[in-house]
Order: sequence, then C-alpha cells, then structure tokens
Amino acid sequence: MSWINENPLTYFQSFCSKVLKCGPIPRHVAIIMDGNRRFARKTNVEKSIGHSKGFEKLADTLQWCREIGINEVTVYAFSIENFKRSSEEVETLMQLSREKFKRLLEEKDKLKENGVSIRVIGNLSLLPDDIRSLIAKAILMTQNNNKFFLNVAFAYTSRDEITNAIKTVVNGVHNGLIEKKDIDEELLTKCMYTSKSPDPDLYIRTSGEVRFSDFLLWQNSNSVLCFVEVLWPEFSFWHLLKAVFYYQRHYIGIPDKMIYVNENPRKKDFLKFVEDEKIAELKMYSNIPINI
Amino acid sequence: MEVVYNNKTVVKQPLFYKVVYILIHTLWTVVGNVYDVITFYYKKILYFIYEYSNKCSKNPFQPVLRLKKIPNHLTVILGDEALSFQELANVVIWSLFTGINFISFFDHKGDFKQKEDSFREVVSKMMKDRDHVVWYDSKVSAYKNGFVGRKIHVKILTPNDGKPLIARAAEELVDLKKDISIELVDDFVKKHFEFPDPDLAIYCSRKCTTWGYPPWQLRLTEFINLERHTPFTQDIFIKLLYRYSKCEQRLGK
Repeated sequence: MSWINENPLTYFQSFCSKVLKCGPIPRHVAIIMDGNRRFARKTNVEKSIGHSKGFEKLADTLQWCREIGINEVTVYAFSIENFKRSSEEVETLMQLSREKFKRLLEEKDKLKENGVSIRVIGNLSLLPDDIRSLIAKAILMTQNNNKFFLNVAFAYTSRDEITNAIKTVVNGVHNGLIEKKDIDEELLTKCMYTSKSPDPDLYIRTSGEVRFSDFLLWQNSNSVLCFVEVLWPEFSFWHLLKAVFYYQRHYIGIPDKMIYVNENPRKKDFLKFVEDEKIAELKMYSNIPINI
Repeated sequence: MEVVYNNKTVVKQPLFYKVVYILIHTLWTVVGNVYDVITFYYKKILYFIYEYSNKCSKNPFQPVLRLKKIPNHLTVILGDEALSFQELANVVIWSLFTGINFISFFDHKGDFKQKEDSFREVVSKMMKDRDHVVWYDSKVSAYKNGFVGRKIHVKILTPNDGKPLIARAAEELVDLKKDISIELVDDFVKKHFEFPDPDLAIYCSRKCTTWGYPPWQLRLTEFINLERHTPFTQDIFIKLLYRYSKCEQRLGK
C-alpha cells in the first residue's frame, strides 16, 4: 500500500468538494486516528489487520485532503503511552512502521512530483535504531518539497513535547545563547516539534471519544474541534467533507492564531541554532548503517 | 487563483459552484434556526413538567450519587456565550450536591475574573449552613480544613494560567539546575495551578474550541457540549454527569 494514492474522486465527490472550496478551507488539519483495534474486534479480524486498514485509510485521507485543498495534515500515529501495550502489539506496530517508512523511501520520485514533505514529530530517541534512521532519511529526503506537508506524530505526547521545549530553552540560557528574560510563550512555541507548522485550524478525533489524549495540546488552542463518531478505518470522504463543512460553520468568532512579531536578534540566532542542531541530529541518525 | 478571505485562503471557483455553496449554507442556517426555536420551546415544556415532578421527589441528585464515576474536577469553558451568574452559581451548588470536589470556570476574555466578588455573593446566598465553598485566588493561597459539612473548591481561570504559566515554569527551572522531566514540570504546574487536572470540561458554545484553555491540564479531559439555546437546568446537569460516567479511558493501552 502506497503513501500516495491516485484514485480519482467520483463525479459527485468532486462536485461536492468544488462547492465547499468556494468557502474557507482549513489550511492545516490534525487527526487522531482512533479506533483501529475496535474496528478489528468489530469485524473479527486480527489487530494487525485493523492497524493496516488504518494506514490505508491514512493514504486515502491524504489524497482527499489534497483534492479539497488542505495542504497540511498532522496525524497521531503512535503515542509514547502506546509503548505500554503488549510487547507483541508494539512489535507489530513497529514492524508495520518499518515497512511503511521503507516504502516511503522507495517512493521518492512520486513524493517529489506531488511536492509532499514528510515530517515526523515526537521523541525519536525512544525508537529502535533502524526505524529512527529510516525516519531521519525520510525527513531529509523530502524536506524541500513544499506543496503538501504531512506531519506524523510518532512516539509523541504533547507533555513530552512541551517538556522538551522547556529543556531546549533552559539549555539555551545555561549555554549563554539567550537570557532568562527572553523566555516566553513565543519562544517556547518556536521550540516545539511543530515549529515549522501553523497551528491546526481543524482538529478531528474519530471513534466518538471526546478527549485529546495528549495530542497537540499546545497547538490546538484556536482550532475548531470536531469529534466524529466513526472508527478510523471506517472514516470516509464524506466524513472529511462533513468536518470541513463543520469548520466553515464554526470558525467565525474563534480568536485568530497567535502571530508573533518583534523578535529580538538574540532569540532569532538561538532559534536558528536550535534548527541547525535538529538537522545535524537527523543527519547523524540517517548515517547509522542499517540492514534493509 | 487564490484570494485571502478573513485570513483564510479561498480558491476562486466558477460561479455555479459559488451559488450552490451559498444555497447550502443559507439553507443550513435557516433549518438550524427553525430547529433551535422548536427545541427551545420543547425543552421549556419539558422543564415545566420536570419542575412540577421535582416537587414530589425530595432529592433529584440521589441517583447521581450512585454513578460509578463522578468527575473530581469539573471545569466550565465559558466561550463566547455569556451564562448568567445565577446559572453558574447553580452549577457550583449542584456540583457540591453531587460530590464534585473541584470546580473551575475558564473565561478567555478575563471579564469573569473581574466580577468574581459579586459572583461570590450570589453563590454564598444560595449556600446552606453546613456547606462550604473554598475560593482560590491567585494572590491568597487558600487551604482550609476542618469543615464538618460538604465542601467544594472553586477557582476562576484566565488565559494567564495557561501558556504563560509554562513559560514561568521554564524560567524557574533555569535556576533549579535539575534534570528536566515531565514529572518535574507537572509538579511545578500543579503547585501553581493548585487544582488537579480537570476530568470533565463543559463548553458553553456552539463552537467547539478550547479558547486557549491551559493546555498542560487538558491531557485526558473529556469534552461535553452544553447546548446553549436552552436554559441550563438541573436535569441537563445530571444528564452531563451520566454521559461522563460512561466514558471509558484506556490510557494508551
């Protein structure tokens, strides 16, 4: 199953998406893809099949998003808390990710042609070496593509992200790059894993659960939240369209995203330094020899 | 071609699609409004029946006390639709009756915080002798013990309790020179926030958004919408608690 899907929309689907495109379309959509295991239980198949179905749905959804004009999607693929699941299930999920990231590297040309940039947000140090290396390669390979951005939250929790941002700025002060008084909301925001993305406009959770489960807590302050009743493998084009319609009905009146201006040069230099460090780290990860 | 409309990017489409778009949204608005009016009156009638039947039963909260799960901390996100002091005071009193220990109100505009004194008055008028409300203020840390009757802790939150608090945590951690872990940050946040993380958030707006609610605390909070075009009555409150008690949390497993 490929990352880039090219099944055309049906005539009616394409008609409806053209209609909705007359209104505002969220630029960035965040999705908690919940319900793979419940889907497996419901349809009496193995959990691993539920997870594969979930991935297929992701590929479909990315295509629908591109058709509708959404150009950034952040998905919750694997939470740090998920490491607590049975070792068998964690291993299955890791194996699935391994396959998918390998596949991603093979699809270099297709990704470039469609301008798809992949970023993985999360605590990469918690992952097995080979997956980390595959991820680093994928990020570096697609970093210059700029038509569509896919952020995969992998070994991610929001509290871990916030703690990591705090660590970054505290180290910055200790190393004399910034001063204590420079620390504020803005600086922390720019030190999050998501520093390159605008905050999500629309935040979708499937499976009828009504909580965030530690996903993008810092970034969703001004998002339209949309809780969808359906399990993730059953999510369809129409659910996505409905969510966009819901967004069009509700975005008015929600305070606009924070736009930070008035950067002082010290902060700018520091953020540049942090960014360079990140790239250097990814390069280091990607150079670790692995057997594919 | 792309144009910027209300800060959002809109792709220009042929006129035909535009007409259909406007038609659908207008139709939705009309149907939605009609629906609101009907439910408003329907609920009003139900409310009268309920009030009447309530006079017969002594304590309507009795069945709630038997629920498996009651939120320890209930938070109300005020959003863009104003609730009256009376309604909010009711929520405090009902929470007290149902055994909720902590209740907080989040107002992203900060107006409510300024009117806190008059709100306290409204609440205290409704209290029974043996009941106690412990108010939390950012200036005075209130820890009172030794009450005999029922007790509830109340706090009014503002956006300053959110991201700026985390920035302060970072500043404080600079001097601490300790290894920074999630637990350490959480300890700091708890110390300043004083309340446990909310278990249930009620949002009082058609728009489902957090309005910048303190992010750190919302990790596992359940969100339930309070339909605002009807009066916020006791039975609606009880229904919310019923819905909450059915939410199952797996904590990542």
